Amino acid sequence: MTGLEKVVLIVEDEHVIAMGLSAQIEDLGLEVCGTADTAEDAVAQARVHRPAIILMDVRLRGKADGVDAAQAIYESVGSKIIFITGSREQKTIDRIKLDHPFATLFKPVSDRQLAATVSEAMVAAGQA
Amino acid sequence: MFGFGAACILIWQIQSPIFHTILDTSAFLASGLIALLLWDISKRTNQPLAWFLAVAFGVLTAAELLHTLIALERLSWETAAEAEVRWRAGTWAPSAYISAIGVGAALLLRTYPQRLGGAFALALILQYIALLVVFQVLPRYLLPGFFGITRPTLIGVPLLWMAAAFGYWRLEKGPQVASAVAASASVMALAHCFMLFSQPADYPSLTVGTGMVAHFGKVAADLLLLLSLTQIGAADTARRLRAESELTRLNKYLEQRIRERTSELVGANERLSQALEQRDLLLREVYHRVKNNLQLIDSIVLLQVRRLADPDAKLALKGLRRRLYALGLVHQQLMGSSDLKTFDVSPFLKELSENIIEGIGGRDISLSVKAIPLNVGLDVAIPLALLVTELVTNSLKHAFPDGKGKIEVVLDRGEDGTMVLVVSDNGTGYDILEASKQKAHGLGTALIDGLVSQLKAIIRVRSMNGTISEIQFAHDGEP
Repeated sequence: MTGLEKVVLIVEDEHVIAMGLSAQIEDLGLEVCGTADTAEDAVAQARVHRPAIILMDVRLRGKADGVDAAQAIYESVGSKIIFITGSREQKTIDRIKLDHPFATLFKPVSDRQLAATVSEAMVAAGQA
Repeated sequence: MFGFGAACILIWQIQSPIFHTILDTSAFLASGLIALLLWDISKRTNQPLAWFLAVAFGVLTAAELLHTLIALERLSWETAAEAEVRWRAGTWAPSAYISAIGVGAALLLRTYPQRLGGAFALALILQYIALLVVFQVLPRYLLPGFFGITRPTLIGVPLLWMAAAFGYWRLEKGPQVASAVAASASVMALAHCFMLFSQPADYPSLTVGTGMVAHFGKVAADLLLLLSLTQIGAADTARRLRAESELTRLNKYLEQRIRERTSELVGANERLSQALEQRDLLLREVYHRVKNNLQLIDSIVLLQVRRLADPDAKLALKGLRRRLYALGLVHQQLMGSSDLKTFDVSPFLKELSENIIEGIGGRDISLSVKAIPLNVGLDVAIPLALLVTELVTNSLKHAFPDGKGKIEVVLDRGEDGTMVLVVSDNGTGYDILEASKQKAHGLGTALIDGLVSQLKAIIRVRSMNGTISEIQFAHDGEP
């Protein structure tokens, strides 16, 4: 996929957690292009910023969840999507798998797990 | 009825051969019907008494057939007059005796199995033949003797009937058949008394008609028994029909109840599984919330760390984040477990230890985790997770001044059944008392003490080619 920016979009409905993730991404030397707390907002921001990486929570505000947003973004933008989920339910995991995720991380995500996954995703996106 | 009939016969001195033949035929027909009815009752109620009575009446029916055929002059090769005296009178006595004997014997045989019926019939037939022979020899009519009796050879018949009537009447809690036979036998005894006075048809006497009275009485007794048996049969049938309809009603009621109970149970089952699903859903939600809150706190701490300049403060907050991670990881494991209450601690210990080592950044430190599978609940998992966090962190901070070394985490079951957690390193070794004096580690040591007492565990720390911390605690594997 071409035309992606070397930025990270954070999709997370808990704003403090989103802030924490932003700080972690910045500590890795990357830029955060924005944060979204609904699936619609996530899709809209992804189309505007065309981020190389999206950190995607599954539970979001509104009817649609992260899995729905990821599907739309995968088809229209093509960002590398890293799911960060609190759920370990097989149903959710199966749905995530259908969305061509780059990786799926289960909360709590350690610093080194996040760092390693993000840098791998950057390499995969051709932005390293 | 018998009394009225007997009076009419005696008053009008009826001695008609046609009347005589009609009565003989009636007696034969009645006996046959009685035999069939008794047979039917014995089949239905499985009463040996009814069965032996049926056999007796069967034999009697044959005997009376013979007597009747003679009356109809079908078997006569002598003159009618000769036959009248010789055979008619000659076959009356044996059949009279055999009927009384048969009915009496049935009473005595009532406790024997029904398969003796054949032998009983044979015995009766043989007895009948013997009686037939005997009565050909004995005189039939005599001149009126004692009390005017003309046929003293028949004296046994009413006596036998009386005995039978008494026997059947005495039968305590006897079947209905017995009381019917008792009534009939009483009439029989009375009827046969009249026969003692009977005389040949052409013999002029004041007692003309006593023979007919006896015949009439016999038929009356037979009809009485026949009627009683029919009534018993009808009552049985009515009872059976009532029982059957009651049974059908009960069956329907039971089926209805079963259907109701089944649907109730199905409903209850559904509600129960719904409640269980609801419980699982709620528990997952709670764990999720707890985990989310832990992450929230972690995010706040993370943001705080970035705003601090003091390295000691940063170190302390990083220590806090490690502990938060341990708690979060416990909840992550619980959410993934099938019962939402327990999980296998062995992969968890590996993930936890790896995260601590990589978090603190010991690139040249190798880790080995050897844990036996052990299902634990929250109450054990939380202290265990925090203990491993503190002990591994201690080793990382104090054992390897040059940043190289090996840490081993082992969870095993001891010979006495208690669990043993060992965290060891091959580092320089350190004095835990000395370490606890350092400000940054005062908390870690205090936490270890608290967690050890929470688990009711024993801790032993040794320095031998490094530091070995051994924690022994009781756990039966059923949290």
